[in-house]
Formats: sequence, C-alpha cells, structure tokens
Amino acid sequence: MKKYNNIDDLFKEQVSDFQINPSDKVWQNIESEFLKTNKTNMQRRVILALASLLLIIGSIFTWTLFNNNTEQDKLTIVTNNTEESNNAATINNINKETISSNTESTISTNKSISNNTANTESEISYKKSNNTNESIVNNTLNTEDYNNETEYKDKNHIDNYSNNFGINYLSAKSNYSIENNIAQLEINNSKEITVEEYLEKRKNLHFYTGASASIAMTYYTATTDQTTWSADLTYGLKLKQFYIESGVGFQKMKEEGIFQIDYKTNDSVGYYNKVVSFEVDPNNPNTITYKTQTTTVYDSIEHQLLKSPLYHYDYITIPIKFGYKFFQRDKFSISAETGIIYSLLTKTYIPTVTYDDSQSQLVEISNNTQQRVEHNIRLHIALRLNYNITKTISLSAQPEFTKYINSIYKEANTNNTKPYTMGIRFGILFDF
Amino acid sequence: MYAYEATLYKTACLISNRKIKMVSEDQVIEECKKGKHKSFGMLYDKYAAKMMGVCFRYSKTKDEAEDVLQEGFIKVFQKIKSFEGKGSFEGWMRRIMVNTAINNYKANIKHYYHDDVDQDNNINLKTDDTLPFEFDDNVSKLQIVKLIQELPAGYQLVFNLYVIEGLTHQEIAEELEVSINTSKSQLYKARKWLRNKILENKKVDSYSQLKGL
Repeated sequence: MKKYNNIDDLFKEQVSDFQINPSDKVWQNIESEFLKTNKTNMQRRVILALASLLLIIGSIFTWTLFNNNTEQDKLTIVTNNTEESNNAATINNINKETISSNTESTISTNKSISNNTANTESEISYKKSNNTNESIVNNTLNTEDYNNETEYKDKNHIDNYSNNFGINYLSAKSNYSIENNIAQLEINNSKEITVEEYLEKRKNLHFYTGASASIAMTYYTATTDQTTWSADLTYGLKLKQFYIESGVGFQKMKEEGIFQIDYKTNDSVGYYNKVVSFEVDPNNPNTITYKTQTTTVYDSIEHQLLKSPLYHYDYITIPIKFGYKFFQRDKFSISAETGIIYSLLTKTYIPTVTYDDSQSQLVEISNNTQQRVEHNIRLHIALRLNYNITKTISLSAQPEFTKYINSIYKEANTNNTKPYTMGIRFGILFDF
Repeated sequence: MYAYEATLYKTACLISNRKIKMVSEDQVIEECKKGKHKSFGMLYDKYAAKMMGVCFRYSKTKDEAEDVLQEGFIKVFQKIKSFEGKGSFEGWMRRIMVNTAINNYKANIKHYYHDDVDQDNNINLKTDDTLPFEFDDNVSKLQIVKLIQELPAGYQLVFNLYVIEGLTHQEIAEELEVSINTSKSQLYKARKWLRNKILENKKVDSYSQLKGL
C-alpha cells in the first residue's frame, strides 16, 4: 500500500505518463483522410503553379516582343515623317568629317548644304554648286581610308539615298552611309514587300502566341448531350511546316444530374360494395335483398420521380499540341493537329432540387449523380484553317474532336464514362 | 523545453544502404512542414501511444479515444506549420489533443447524462476527498485510467483538466463555457465519486480474499 496526500496526487502520479497503443486503423484513417487530401492539394497547387508560370512566362515573352516590335514601328514612322531631316543630318555628318581635312570654300559650301537639306531646296542648292560637288567627291575619296574597314553594305540603299538628293556620285563609292539611316531605309524597304513574300521568308524557327475560344458538343451517351465552351491563351513555336503549342485555358462543361424524388400520395387502390341496408321478402323469408354502395379504398402509394437538372463544371486546361501545315496558298493555310489536353476540375456547381406538391407527401430526394474525378486527359485531333490578315496576325478556324482517355467519373466501372466532344474553335494568332 | 531538447534522439531509424540514420525531432518537424509524408509517419510513431493515453482519459471507450486521437493528429499535421518551436512540441501536441477531446465532449454533450450542478453554490470543498489515503500499489495504471473513464462525462472532463492538465477553475470555466462554481462542484463530485469507487473496489477485493477467490 502506498500513502497519498489526497486523491489528486494519486491520479496525477499514476495517470500523467499513461501510454497505450492505438490500433493500426487510426494511422490508416489518418493516411487516407489527411495525407491523401494533402497530396491532392499539393498536386493541385503544383499544376496551378505550372499553369501560372506558363502564363507569366508567355505574357513576359509576348510583352517583350510586342514592345520591340512597337519600337520598330515607331522608328519606321519617324523615318517616314522626317526622312529629309534625317538625310540632312547625314549630310551634316559628312560635312563634319570633310571639314577636318578640306579647304574653307568647301566648308562654306557644306554649310549651305546642311542648311538647305532640311527642305526640298537642298537639291537646288546642290545642283547650283558644281564645284561644291566636286569638293565633296574629293573629300569623300579622302575619307575612304578613314572608313576602309566599313563594308559596302547595300548599294541599293545608297542609290535611294543618293537619288533623293540628286548626288549620284555618292552612290558610287561612298562608305559614309550611317548605320541608322541604312536600318531605317531597310525598314522602309521591308514595308514594300507583300504579305505572301513575307510569309515565304518567315519559314524559320519563330514563336507565336494567340487566344482562342471554342464551342463544342459533348456526347455523354449515358445522359443527354450538352454544350461545352472554352477559352484559351496559347504559346507556340513554329519550325518550317511544324509547330508545337501549349498554353492555359478555362473550360465550362455541363451535364445532367440524376435526382430521385420519392413521394407518397393517397391514391385509390380499389373499391368494395358496402352494405347499406337489407330487406327480407315477407313472402319468401329465405330471400334477403341487400342494398349496397360502392366505396373507394384509398391507401398511401409510393411514387418515384426522376429529375435531371444541369450540373456545371469548371476546368482549367493545359494543352500540348503538335501540328503540321500541309497546305498553303497565298495567305491561306491548312494544318493537321493532334495532342493531349489535361484538365483539372476546379469547381462543381450542384443544382438545387425541390419538390413541392400539396397533393402528395415528400419522402426523400436522393442525388444519384455520378461524381467526377478531378484530373482528366483528352486526346485532341483537329484541322486548323489559317488566314493571314497581316504579316504577323492571322485568324484561325478549327474543327476539333476530343476524346477522354480516362473516365470522367469516380465510379469507373460503369460503361460510357469517357465522352467525346466535337466542336469548332476560333482564334487569333500573332507571329513574332 | 523543446528548443533546448533539440539534441539528437532516436525519433526514427531510416534504414538506407544498411546504415542507420539518426534524425532529430527538429528535422522531422521541418520535414513535416515541407509536407514530407514519411516524416508525418515518424512523428505519429513517436507520439501515438502518449497521445492515445491522453485521449483515453477524456473518452468513454477505446474507440472514442481513437476517434479523438485521429482527429487530433490530423489537426496537428494541418497546423504544424504554425508551430514556431517556442515551447515543447509534445506540450503543443497535447494541447491540441485536449482541445479536440473537449470539442468531442461538446459535440456529444446531448448523449451524456447531465448532472446539473449549477444550483450547487454552497459546496464545502473541504471534505475528506482531499485528505490523505492509502492505495494498493498493485493496481495497474490502466485500471486507474479506467476509473476516470467511468466518471460521468462532466466530472471526467473537469477532473482531467484540473488535476492532470493543471488548469485553474477560471480557465476551465472559460474553456467549457460554464460558471466557476460549476467547475468546482464537478471536481468535488468527481473526487467523491472516485474515492467511493476505490473504497468499493477495496471492499470487493477484501471480500474476495476472505472467500479465497
């Protein structure tokens, strides 16, 4: 026997460090409840992170290239508007170079050139001063040594440049073309080529981006067919006739749910003849005449009613598609495309089913709709009809077929769990 | 304190390439925070029996205790990122288990028998329940815990919180959303009930011994 000061001490001492092993099912339940959910959440997070990353990278890529393109466009516009003044600047540069090694008369002439080339009068001043032209030739020849490392870039550009100002002799030997002016003139020249020519040139590796929307019919077989729509942002890489494309999209699907409503009504189940009275014939006492009345018998009858309200499902989709352009004529092209589309179920909208009938009594509403799985993969086959409206922008129309590879329902043992869709996708693509 | 206990101990042995790798509790917790499944298992292996002991005291049956344990561990795993290592991890875990047991009691309160003691405002706590007494050493800990399990639910909860966890009546009252007097009277009745039960058992034992059973 052991003495304790009070009952509290006894229990504190004996119970504080009490241990007992739980059964194995506890850990099994924890694993199935927490760790599985945790894993699913992790998977979902990883997928969303990848999709977001893809979107961000694509956006940055698009923005960067758009930005560069915009700057080039601006440059072209500037060149067009101030063509003469730029050229004037060129002449100024020439003059500055010649000043260093030439006579005073040349300098004065050059000054007149630089002053006048800002407007059309420059040509007049050039033509008027033959001597000056000669001096420029001399000066230009002198500067050949100075520029002998510079290659003769583009004779045509120089011709253009020279023709504009009527200085033919510059086109022959001058290496004084300034890089910027050449670049600007190249841009001017590039604008003159046709879309077809541009497309012909752009057969090498390049990126493109686009946006598309589609509407399709989903053929469920088990339930009635429903429309599905989606919107996608895509990024792709083209190499000659081939392309590979990915992106991120949003898909909205519908499907009929199955709700069973059990209710009771007080219905007639038959009738019987109720004896209301009887008479005995006084002449024949053995004969009794009964007077009857037909009475209906009611009983509680159970009924079943099936309702099929629409479920809505939201998915995030990530496609990986491969295509081959097998036909091109002018601005129009046709490509065959295949690939897979991964979809992640993000939200399920469950319809509300009510039953309200004063003549009957509701017993139960049971939802027999099959639950959907979170992850799906579809096979995608399509034809892409492309029409280039500009050198970089094209419109596409795409009849497409998709078939689910895995079951869309959790209970995969039933038949017809892999529906297919047929629809059309419209998009706009931008080639970099 | 946990921070000072961070020395290596045998939380688990990861056998790889025939070498036994020792892992500290700190490491295991950090791995759990990263969501490593293996680490959750290691943590469970270490604390399951101890925490089951806690849950057992707050429950009526082993099944109920296991339900509380399961729910408690899920909460521990879900909240482990919020554990900053400022106190003992075991203490933090134990607190979650106790809270889970309290929530379980509140959820099942309608199923328990209620002894409304709010009326008992004039309880004399200086009864012989706080006096010294003798107890047989041969009685196992499991038998003692089973005595707590047999207490009426309200008594059981207050007795555990006050005597074993060391909470004050004020804290118990706030935790269980009852008055301080209710807490005091529940404790009083729990002590009295336990003493009577022990004495009853003693009598039965003595009778059995006399009969040579």
